[in-house]
Amino acid sequence: MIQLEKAGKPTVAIVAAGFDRDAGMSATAFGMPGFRYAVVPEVLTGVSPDRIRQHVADAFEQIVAVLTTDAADAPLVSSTRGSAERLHIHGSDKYDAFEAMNRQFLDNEWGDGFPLIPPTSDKVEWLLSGTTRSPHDVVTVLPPELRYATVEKLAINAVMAGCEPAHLPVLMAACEALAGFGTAARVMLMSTGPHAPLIMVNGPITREIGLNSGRCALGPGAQSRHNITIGRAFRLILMNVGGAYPGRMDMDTIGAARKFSLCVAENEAENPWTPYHVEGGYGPDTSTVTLFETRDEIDVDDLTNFEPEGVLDSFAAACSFIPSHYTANFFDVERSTHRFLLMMCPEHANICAKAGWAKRSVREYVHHHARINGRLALNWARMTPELLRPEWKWLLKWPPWELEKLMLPVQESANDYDIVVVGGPAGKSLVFSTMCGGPSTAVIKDRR
Amino acid sequence: MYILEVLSPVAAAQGIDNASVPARRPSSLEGLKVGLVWNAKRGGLDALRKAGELIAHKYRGVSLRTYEGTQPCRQELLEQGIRECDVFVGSTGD
Repeated sequence: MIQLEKAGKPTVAIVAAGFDRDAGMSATAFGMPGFRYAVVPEVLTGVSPDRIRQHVADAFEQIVAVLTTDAADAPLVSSTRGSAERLHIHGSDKYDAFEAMNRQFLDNEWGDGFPLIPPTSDKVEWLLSGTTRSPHDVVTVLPPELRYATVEKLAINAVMAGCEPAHLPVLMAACEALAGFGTAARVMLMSTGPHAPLIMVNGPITREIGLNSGRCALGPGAQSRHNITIGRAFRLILMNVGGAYPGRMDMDTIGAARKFSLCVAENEAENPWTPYHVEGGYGPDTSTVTLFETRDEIDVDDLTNFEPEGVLDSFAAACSFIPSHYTANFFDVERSTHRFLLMMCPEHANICAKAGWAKRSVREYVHHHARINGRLALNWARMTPELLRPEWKWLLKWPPWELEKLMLPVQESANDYDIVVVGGPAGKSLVFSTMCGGPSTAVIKDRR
Repeated sequence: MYILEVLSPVAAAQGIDNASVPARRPSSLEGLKVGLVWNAKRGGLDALRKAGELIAHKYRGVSLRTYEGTQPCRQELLEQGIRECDVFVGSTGD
C-alpha cells in the first residue's frame, strides 16, 4: 500500500486496533511516516462476515476522511548511521549500575528478558576484533523496520548476548541469509504466528568455534554455550537492529520458546550423506550459515524401526500432523513456500544410508507417504475457497464423508523437504514446518 | 557513585533517510476509479467489498476494481492497479 501512495495514489489501509502501531512503524520503515489508516476494533481474520461488514460501516467516515483530506506534514525524524550513541547509567557501585542498565534496557524493550552483558566500548571493541570489516560497514538492511545492520550494531548486540569475537562473522552471515528471504522475512518477523528463524552452521568453523552438533544441540547447558549465545544475539539483533520488538512489530499471538535462541551446527562427522551446504553447491571447506524459518517442531520418536521404510513412516506421520493451510499443495496464498525441515538424528540417517537410500530417496518416500485426508485438507478452504488452487476446486463439491476417504499429499513435490543431520545417539529426530521463502544460505567470511 | 558507559544497541532506520510524503488527496471520490487491494488474509475481502459498496453508494460515478493479491503483493499487480485506479482501499486482515 505504501508503494501505491508513493506512486501518487491516495490510499487507506483498514487496520485492526492493536495493530495500528505495527502499521505506523511499517509505513515508516518503507519511507512513508505520514501514511494513514482506518481502524476497526478487532482483527478481521477471526470474525464473521456480518461483523466485518458492520466494523467497516462504522469505520466508513475514517476511510473517506483518509482518502479525501490531506495529512498534516509528518514530523521529520533525524537518522544517523554514524557511531553508536553513548548512554550513561548511574549506580552506587559497579554491580548496582549493572542492574540499573538491565532495568533500563528492558524498559526500552531492548532485552529478551534475561540479564544482558553491558555493551561497553571495550567489550564492543573486543567483539569487533573477530572481523576484518569496518565497524560502520553496513552488512545489510534488516527487516521488519528496514534498519541499517552495521558491523558495530551487530557487535553491540552480540556483546549483550554474551558472544565472543569468533561469533561475529556468523551473525553477519545470518543477517545476509535473512536478506535472502526478501520481503517474506517481514512475514516471518511480524506474523501473528510463532515463526522463528533457525541458524544452522556448516563447515570448519563449527569445529573451530566449538558449536554443538551432537547431544542436546538445541538445548540449554554448557555443551551448547556457543549455539545459545549466537542464537540469542541474533534474536537481539532482530529486535534492536531489525525492529522486531514483541507487541510492536512482532505480533505473535502466543509466542514460542524457539524465539529466544535457535542455533545449531550440522553433525557432519556422523552424517552419512553429503553435508547440507555441500548439497547446496558450497565446498566442504567453506563455512556457511543457513537460515530456516520454523513455525513448530515435532518430535519423531522412533526407537523401534530398523528399516528405512519404518523410520521414514514416522517422519511422514510427523509431516502429516499440521494445519491444512500449511500444506503447500492446496493453497495459492504463499504458494510453494511451505516446506519441511527433516532434522534427522545420526541413527535414523544411518539406518537409511546403510540400506542404500540417498537423500533423494528419503525425500521421495516421505513425500509419497505424508498425507492428510481431504476433509482436513480443506478445513481452511471452506472459509476462503477463492484461495484454493484451481486444480483442487473440484474437491469443494465432495461431501465430508467422501473426502475423509481421500488421502492427499501435503506437499507439492519431494523437493519441498530439506534434510539435515543433527543430534546424539538415540532414535529421536525433529521435523519443523518452514515457509516464508527460505531456506537461505550465506557464506561466513571476513573473519580475523 | 559509579557511572557505566554503554553503547546503544538500536540501529538507524533506512526509511527515515528516504522518507516520502503522502499523495495529494481529491476533495471527493465522485467519478473516481477505486481499487480494492486484498492481501489474501481471511476477512480482508469481506471488508473491502463492504467499503467499496459504501463508497459506490455515497459517491456518483465511482467504479470499483478488486485486486486479489498475495503477501507480499506481486509487483505486476501493483503496477496494474496504479495504471487503472485513482485511489485505493487496502486490507491487511489484522
